[in-house]
Amino acid sequence: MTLDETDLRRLVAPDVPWVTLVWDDPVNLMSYVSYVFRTYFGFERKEAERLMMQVHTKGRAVVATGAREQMELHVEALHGYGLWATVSKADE
Amino acid sequence: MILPFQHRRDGVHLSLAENERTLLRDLAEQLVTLLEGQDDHDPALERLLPPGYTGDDEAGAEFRRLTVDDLTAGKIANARALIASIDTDRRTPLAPEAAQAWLRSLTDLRLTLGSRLGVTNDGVPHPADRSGLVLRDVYEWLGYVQESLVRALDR
Repeated sequence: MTLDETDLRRLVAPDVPWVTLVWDDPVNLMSYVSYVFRTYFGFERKEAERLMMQVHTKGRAVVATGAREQMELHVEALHGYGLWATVSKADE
Repeated sequence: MILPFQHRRDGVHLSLAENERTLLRDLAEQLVTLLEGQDDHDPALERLLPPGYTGDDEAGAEFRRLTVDDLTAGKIANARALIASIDTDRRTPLAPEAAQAWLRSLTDLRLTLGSRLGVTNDGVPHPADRSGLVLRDVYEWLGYVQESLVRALDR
């Protein structure tokens, strides 16, 4: 039996998804964080504001879920905007 | 009072005074020097290029190895784009790419000054000397400039 491509992908990227976390920081403006969420992720204003407030009040928020490589691309882009973001396993 | 940035039908216009442009140019040049210096132990650089993982040093080091050059180059390019467009006449709109570079570079400047001043969630600590007081004023002014740009872009 040979593994088809789907099986291989499952081996490399198991079912546990990854997340992009954005962490609260004392410098970035609330309006700017919300603007980045809207322009980069394309969130509606209400959702962007909700996530920004979650970052602000809870210290962090999950802003994306998916494959690890995709989360790393998000984190790099967010660092380009000056936000502090990290990649984590979804269950951590 | 004239806001630093204004949204008009043809785009975002820059209305900073001459002395403000001089100050910003100087700060952006210092930012380029800081980024080119690559001093890994500078706390400001640690904040500009933060870890991409928490609690996983190996993944964090690998992420940094793969991203640090592009991120640094991008931040330098943004600062240079700010410098290149800083003398834009207030009658001419900033090119959209230039406005985005300004937005990110203003963020990098605030992160750098915030790190120098030791800003926390409790605010800006009281500076110990005159140069610290000047730095705090500049930091707060940059916040005002950036808020104005976010509002102008957000229309």
